[in-house]
Parts: sequence; C-alpha cells; structure tokens
Amino acid sequence: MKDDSDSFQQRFVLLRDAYARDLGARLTGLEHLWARLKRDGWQRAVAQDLRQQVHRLRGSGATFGFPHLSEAARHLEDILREAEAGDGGPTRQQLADIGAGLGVLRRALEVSASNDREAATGEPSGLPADGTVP
Amino acid sequence: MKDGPDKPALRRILYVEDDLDIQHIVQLALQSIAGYQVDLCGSAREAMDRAPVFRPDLILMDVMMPDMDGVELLQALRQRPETDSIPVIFLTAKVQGRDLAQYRRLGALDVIVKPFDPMRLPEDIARAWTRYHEGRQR
Repeated sequence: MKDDSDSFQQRFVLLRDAYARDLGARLTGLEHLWARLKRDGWQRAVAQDLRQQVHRLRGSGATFGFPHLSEAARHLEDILREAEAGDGGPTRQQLADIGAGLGVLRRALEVSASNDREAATGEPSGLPADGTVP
Repeated sequence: MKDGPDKPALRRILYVEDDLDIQHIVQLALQSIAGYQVDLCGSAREAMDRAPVFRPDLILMDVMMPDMDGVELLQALRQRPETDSIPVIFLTAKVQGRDLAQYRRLGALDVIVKPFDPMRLPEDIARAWTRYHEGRQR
C-alpha cells in the first residue's frame, strides 16, 4: 500500500473543519423537523426524514473525530425508531424523549465545537475533552 | 493484475453513498492511503448504471439511501450477468443483528461499521479482499 499518510492527515483536517462548520446548520435542520412534528402532529414522512438525518450524524460524527456526537445521535435514532414502530404514533413519553434527545445532541455539538476551539487556541474550554456530554 | 500467485490485485472500487461528507472522506482514504482508483455514486440507481461501465473489482456501499437501499442494490446487481460476481462490502451504521444476518445471507463479503476510522479503512478492505480470495481457493 502507498504510504501517504501525511497528505491524508492534512486533507482530513480540511474536511473535518468543513464538517464541523456545518454541524450547527444541520442541527438547526433537525430542530426544524422536530418543530414541524410538534406543530402539525406526527407525520410519518417527516419523522422518517428526521431519523435518517440523525442516522447520518451517527455514522459521520465519530468518523470525523466527534465520538460524543455519534453517541448522542445513536441514542436519538433508537428513540425515533421505536416511536416510528408504534401503530398509533408515538407515546407522550416517546415525544418527551425525542425532545430530550435533541437537547443532548445540541449539547454534544457544543462540546465538539468547544473542544475544537480549545485544540485550535490552546485555551481550555471548561468542557470535558473525553467526549462525555455533561 | 495479480497480487500474488492466485489473488487478483484490488485496484478499482466503486463507492455508493448519498452522504457527501462520508463520500469525501472515504475517497480520500482509499486514494491517498491505499492508491485505489475510486469512482463515486450518490445513489443506488446511479451505481446500477455506473458499475458495468467502471467495472470495479469491488463495490463498497452504504445501506440507508433514499429511493433504493443498499440491500436492494446488491440484489439488483446479482440479477445482472455483468455485475453478478462483483464482491460487495457494506459500510453502514445499520448493524442490528437481523441486519447483519441479512447482509451475510445475501452474500456480502464484509460489513464495516460506521462510524469508522478512515486511516484503517483501506486495511479493513484489503483484509476482506484477501479473505475472499483465500476462501475461493479452498
């Protein structure tokens, strides 16, 4: 195999930075879908869209170096899948869990951004660097 | 194009993935670390058109994609003589027990779980490729 890992690392950092910059917009997109579900009632297509976007975050987060993001997304995806599986729509508890899961995801994103800033500036963020979400 | 006495070299990989971020990182890893020639498809339907033209040694694919998912794509590829024997590896976060059983039943060469370590991805693929050819020689 060709050993070109330095070049890979340099380009990986660029891709990772672009990914990190876009995370806020993605989460806002998820929150808009959630707001639609709350406002207009449970619609299968919207719920499916929300779950698929969360699924993507689960797969990409840790791949780009944000393991807590993948973990929070995995948890939320599980809740959404269970909510979709119910015949009569989600229970009140499941709706509450989805809202809470999105909150955890938002917090995970803030931790990611904060750790990134800390890595870039050397200034401690005050947030855990081990990927745990407070 | 041989890697050893009986093992063809792995050179050309078709990657099917609708998530652009993952597309970019996989392409980067496979090309810059391993030197593979990688062709990208953003959907299963695009892959159906592209595979007979690009003639990959191996197809790497996501499972959850809009319109046609990876499982349906694998089944469709197996129906065509020009693509029916191309080994397939799934790169997916959809890895519950029943999913994995289905991938195996359909003849997937391997399943690489998302999230994944991009630095290790070429190695994981190369290992599956070797295992595949060792199995064929027995």
